[in-house]
Amino acid sequence: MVLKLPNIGHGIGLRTDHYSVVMDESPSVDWFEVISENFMVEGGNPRRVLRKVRMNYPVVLHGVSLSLGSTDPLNLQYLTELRTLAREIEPVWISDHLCWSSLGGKYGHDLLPLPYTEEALAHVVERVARVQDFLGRQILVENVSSYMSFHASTMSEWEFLAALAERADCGLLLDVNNIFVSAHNHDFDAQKYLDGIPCGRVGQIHLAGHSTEGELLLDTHDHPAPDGVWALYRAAVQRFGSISTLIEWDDHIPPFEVVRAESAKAAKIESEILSASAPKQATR
Amino acid sequence: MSSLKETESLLFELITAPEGVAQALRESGRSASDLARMIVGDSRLSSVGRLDIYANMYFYRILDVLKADFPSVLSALGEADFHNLVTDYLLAFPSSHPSLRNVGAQLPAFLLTRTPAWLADLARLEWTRHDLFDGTDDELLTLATLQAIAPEQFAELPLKMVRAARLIELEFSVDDYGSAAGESVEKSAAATEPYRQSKTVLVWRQGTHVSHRALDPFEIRAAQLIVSGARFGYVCDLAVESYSLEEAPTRAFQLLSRLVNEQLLIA
Repeated sequence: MVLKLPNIGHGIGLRTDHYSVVMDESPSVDWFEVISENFMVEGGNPRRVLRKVRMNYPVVLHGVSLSLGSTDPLNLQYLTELRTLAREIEPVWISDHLCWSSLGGKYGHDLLPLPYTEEALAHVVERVARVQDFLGRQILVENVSSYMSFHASTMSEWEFLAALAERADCGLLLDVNNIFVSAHNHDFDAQKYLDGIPCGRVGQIHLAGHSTEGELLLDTHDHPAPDGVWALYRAAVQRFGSISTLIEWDDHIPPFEVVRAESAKAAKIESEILSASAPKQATR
Repeated sequence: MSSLKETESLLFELITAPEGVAQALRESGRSASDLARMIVGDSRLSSVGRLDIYANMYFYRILDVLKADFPSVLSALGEADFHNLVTDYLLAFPSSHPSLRNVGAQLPAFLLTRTPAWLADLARLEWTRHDLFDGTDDELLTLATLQAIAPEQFAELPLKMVRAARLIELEFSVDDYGSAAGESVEKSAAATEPYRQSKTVLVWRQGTHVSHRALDPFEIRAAQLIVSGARFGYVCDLAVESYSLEEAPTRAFQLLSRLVNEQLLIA
């Protein structure tokens, strides 16, 4: 089975700073991605805003707490609330991260990387499959930025993701900024990463900015995407073709127009590359 | 080689330790070398330094959320003491919910062990306000609906409080304190310290704004009736108990009108 998701164009992550602009002015944006947990609440303004936005735009649910890599049992309460939200909002798709964030019923509220071992792969494959069964749909799994890697790893992150997508029959949300950050932090070749990801499995791309901390890069989503990330995005478009692409901006959030300009820049780059040459036929 | 579960257990213990990864390693009888055999370090940053990035993010992410959820407690304590409070709080009550929205749920209870004593009340008021912000929506009773009711049918009118409303009992006058009372953090810093005074405070969401106010004795008893689902006739009976016969009808209808205007009643 392959991934069957539509290309919905170039979107923006919906943030509270922009609620009034989005609600009052219905700006021209292809779609919005929302953080699932922010709307897994009973009611009030968050749900009111989401309902209104959904009336005008395609919406994608992006979670941060599924904890797919945790050795804790899957949180069925969380999954039930996510499914309830999905039934109401009818998102185009649902995504979360290749990471773990909880243990022993306690939550670290972070996207912690896994050792890339056969044990971890089997564990995550089984959990992704169960999540997809529960939600009744394929999900997208996103690569995270990381600051640590494990001696125990027996495969690269891209090999792990490719195997996960194939064995769990899920899609991938390729965060180009995260690849850039992790490539710097762990000294690997970002192009090699892209080349290792199977084309038919990528359903969405994330773009964002990062910051420098000492000699490492941190995934802070508080800047425009830098040139290096844009260059990697060009390479991603060349490999994967036209893929739904989203700008993430989570801290020091600028006016809406600035974020929209980033999204327009992504659309322009994609258009330039696709018009210059047809996407290369990649091998799986 | 460690199993995935063993790896996650060790890392979670080190990341959530209050004094950083190096100290946590020492306290657990391990060394930096032990960690270096698990996590790849390099000339740019050691394995301990790399894990410390996650440890710092864990604490400061939660600290920032709690600062936003408890601005008056922060203002009352100041940055340094609030920081120490959060350190102790996370040891006692590690986050047990997937959403950061709920990370402060136990802070009011935790503050019962701290001084000054009014901090717990202040935190409870702030948490209730935070909690009701995205509480359940209800269809509201409106003045137009009331106006359509025949006078003789008013006594049978069922009254029910919206679900985004809560009555809380306070031991201190924190409802007037600083930003819990809607003032800026700067102004609240100069606020008078709360004093001991038992109060019943109604907290509720009106549109997109959460409000609170202390209730008078008649309102307290009426609100308790309405919370349990009473007809307006019972509120009128209560007014007769609380006021003179001449004054009671006016008081009962004033209260009904106010509750409707404040979007506190379900249609």
